[in-house]
Amino acid sequence: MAIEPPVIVPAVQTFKLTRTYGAMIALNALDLTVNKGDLFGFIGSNGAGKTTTLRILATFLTPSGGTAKVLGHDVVQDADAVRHVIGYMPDFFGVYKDMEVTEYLDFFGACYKIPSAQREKTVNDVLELVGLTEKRGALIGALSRGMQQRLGLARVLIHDPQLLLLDEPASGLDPRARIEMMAILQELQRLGKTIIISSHILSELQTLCNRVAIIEKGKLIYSGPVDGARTQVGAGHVYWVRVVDDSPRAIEILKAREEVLEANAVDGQIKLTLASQDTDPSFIADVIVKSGFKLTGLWEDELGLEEVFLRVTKGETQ
Amino acid sequence: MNASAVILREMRAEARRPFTYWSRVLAGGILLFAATAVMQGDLGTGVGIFGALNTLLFLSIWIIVPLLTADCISRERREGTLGLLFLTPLRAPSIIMAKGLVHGLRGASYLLTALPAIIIPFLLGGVSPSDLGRAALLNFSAVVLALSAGLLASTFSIRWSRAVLTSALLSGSLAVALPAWHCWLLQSAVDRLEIQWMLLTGFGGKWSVGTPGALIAAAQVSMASVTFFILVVFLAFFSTPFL
Repeated sequence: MAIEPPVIVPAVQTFKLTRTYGAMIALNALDLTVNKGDLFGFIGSNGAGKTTTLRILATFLTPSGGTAKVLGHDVVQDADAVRHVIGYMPDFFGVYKDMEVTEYLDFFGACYKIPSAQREKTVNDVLELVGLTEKRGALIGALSRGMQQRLGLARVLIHDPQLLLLDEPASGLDPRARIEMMAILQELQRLGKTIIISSHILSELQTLCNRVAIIEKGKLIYSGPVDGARTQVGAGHVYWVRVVDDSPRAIEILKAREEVLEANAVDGQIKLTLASQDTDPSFIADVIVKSGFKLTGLWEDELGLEEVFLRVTKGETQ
Repeated sequence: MNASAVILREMRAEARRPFTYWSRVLAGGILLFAATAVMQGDLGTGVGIFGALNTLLFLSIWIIVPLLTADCISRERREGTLGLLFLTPLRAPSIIMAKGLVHGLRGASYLLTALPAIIIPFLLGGVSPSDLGRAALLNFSAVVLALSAGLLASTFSIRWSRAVLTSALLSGSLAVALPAWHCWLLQSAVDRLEIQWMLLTGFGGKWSVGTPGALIAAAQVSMASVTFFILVVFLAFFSTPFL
């Protein structure tokens, strides 16, 4: 008897997910799949529909049309089960400033019905994970913004959810706090959590996320690996060349090749655009060396996520 | 229902507010001052002083309790903490019941500050157990209804000013309705409007009207008040916007 392969349930799957506010369409038939274990970046301009999507997945909003499933549970039909497996951190959230850090987490642990004998250990574990152990007795109102964000993350983790929905978790944080937040997220992914993170800081998502979705005016523009986004916008056929002396002549030689679409001097280096993405770039080194130049550098242009985002979107908001 | 976590949190938060303590001292001080003033007046009998003080207490409940409660849910909505509670297995009735209980206890603690002043008429004599029972039941009803008014106003408001104004209007209406209904229940020979006026003014020992069935009527009012509170909890459950 043949063994059937196990059915892999995606962490998140939406089908034609739509949300309207009167005449305004905030989400327009969004089809999105997030696999388990992904650290998934959700990118879009203000008003693109990111927060609406996250709020629907967190069961805070009901969709006007379509369906959304979180770890196999429908967000409308089975909202309680969804809430049990997710941890949602909104872009704006309040904290009880009159509570101490451990009291706050213990309170949410109690709300999630974690037995009191287990709560102390759970609170200690999440505090250690987000690096707030030293602040355990501090009043929340006395914490910095960055620490409050970390506390928010600790709250999200208190019931050990499988999926984290983080809406702009690094907004308003200073660079150090942002870097620390990103490190925590990587650690969480390593621990097996699936994370969906929306952020405006694309350079950080680029190194953090294994997959991204780009959304504009409620419509999905791209969803897949970060490299795939680069390929989609035609990246990968721009190279940089550095030679010793006489780079104008080297540019002339390169321009004469049919594989080269464009060659320019930029900041003492040569920016080379190839006519086709499929061209083997090894000819560049051959040509340079055989022409008697000393080649000191040849590398592919790393198109950043910001550039990809700008190319695939039109800057339209609702 | 998983309200115990919210009850603990609310009690802890209230215990940390300096206002909680000095307002109690202030309330107790005002009643003691009133007691002294009343005793220097013409109401020399225990019943008369009891009536005057109890009326002051009764009217204070309608002012203090809604004020204490009016912002308890609206503030959470304003500050973005209510939505986080709804992500947990907590549901609206648990949250409202918990807040109602804690703020009811706060209201009761203000009643306790009145005890030293209320004891004075007992020492002077003339106050019957029936008078005491009726006063206790009506004050309890007032606390429950004023609490309901505050919770209801808080549930449907976001801004502090609107919550306070709505609760003041609701509690004002209930403050008139409660004695009116109590008097209607009395079914006595005494003119109903006259009794209602007596309850609201309280002077001259009119809390002790000696009407048969007064205690039973007060008990009925209390039960109805609790029912009203439960209805408010369920109304809030169906009406609380999710965030």
